[in-house]
Amino acid sequence: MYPDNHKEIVTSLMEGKFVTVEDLLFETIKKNEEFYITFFENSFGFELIVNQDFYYLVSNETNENTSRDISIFFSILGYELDKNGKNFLEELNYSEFHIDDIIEYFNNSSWTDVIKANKQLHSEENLKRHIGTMVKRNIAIKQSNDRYSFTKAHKLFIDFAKDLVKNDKNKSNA
Amino acid sequence: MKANNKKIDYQEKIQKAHYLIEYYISPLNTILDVNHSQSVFNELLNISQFTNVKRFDYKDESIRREFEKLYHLLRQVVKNLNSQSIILTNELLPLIDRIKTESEYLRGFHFYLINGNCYKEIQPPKIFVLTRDNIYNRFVHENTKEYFEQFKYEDEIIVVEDSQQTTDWIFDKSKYKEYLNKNLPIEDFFKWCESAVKEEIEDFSFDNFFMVTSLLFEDDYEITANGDGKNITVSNENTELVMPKLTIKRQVNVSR
Repeated sequence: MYPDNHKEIVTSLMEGKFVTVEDLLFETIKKNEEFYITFFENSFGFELIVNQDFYYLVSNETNENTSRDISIFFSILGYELDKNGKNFLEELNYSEFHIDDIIEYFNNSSWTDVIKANKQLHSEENLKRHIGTMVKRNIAIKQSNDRYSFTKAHKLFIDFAKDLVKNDKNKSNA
Repeated sequence: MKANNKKIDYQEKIQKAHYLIEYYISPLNTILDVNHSQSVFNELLNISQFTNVKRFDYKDESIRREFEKLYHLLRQVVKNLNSQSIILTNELLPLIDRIKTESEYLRGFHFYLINGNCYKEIQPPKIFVLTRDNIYNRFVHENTKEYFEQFKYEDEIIVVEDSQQTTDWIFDKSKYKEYLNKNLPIEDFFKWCESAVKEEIEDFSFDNFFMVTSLLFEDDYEITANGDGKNITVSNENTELVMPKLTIKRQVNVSR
């Protein structure tokens, strides 16, 4: 009656996780997209957001602080990767980062004011905890030896930043 | 520039890309434009065709040879231009495309972070809020843990209970006061306190003792020091207190 791995899909999404194209569950949701959109809407009043790379739920409430901190995290990391001669889009998509390297990017960042003002990013310990939050939401994956990679869910946050300029332009043109 | 080896600033990088596009890539594009009848590439092709015909037209061997030479040189030039065009298509255009895409993202990051914009009115993407309201939710343990984790910034305060503490004893003031009133006047107040508390607790502590002595400060009594100047002692297992001998009697005309 229900699609394969239904329980796992519902559990993951209800835990605030992103189900990304890298996951086996992604294909099942994709095949039953209409069903899941209706299922979450009718059962809980939650909206299933459909993206070519990931699925996630949103409700009327939103955890604005967490989302803002993740957006700031990727904006700073992307910026610093570019400054260090890396192709940041490729790096975020395909590379693994040692936790110490991430900490170093933040310690050497020129965005000190933004970092200082942010409880989640202003110390090494909190930065580690923040990455832990991203792991729990399947935005980052903990690999072996304190290394982390990012799932396709990171695109939500970098695309958001990219679109800010577009929207700003549209506003000033209007 | 592709790898940003010189760690150049974002603004500078964009300017450099603009410069390269304007001074190298755009002119090269114009040169190679096959759709424009008068582009250098097409003109070269025309000359090449012309020489191709002319190299057979002349009786003079040396002129024919010069045309032949020119024709081959032109063929080489066209071949070189073609290979440049391939580089442009395969290498430079994707690079420009990438720089353009990257620059859109970098401009976005810059806009979001500059002037503390990220802390102002810009709404971040909506993400799911974990529900904690149903105690029969099977994830209630994890969710509650997550909820409390956010308060974990403070240092933990560890309260060490004093294991030596004796069983709590509550001083029943009214009971002792009543007992005191019955025995008034008393020649030696502190000795009376000692015997009174001893009646209740055989191995009393001085905490217990001092609580009983607090009756001294009640308004109802008149206290006088015993004239002979002698002190008395009160002792338990560990300590001995030397106290003055005080006489206590009911005060006459107590105003309330």
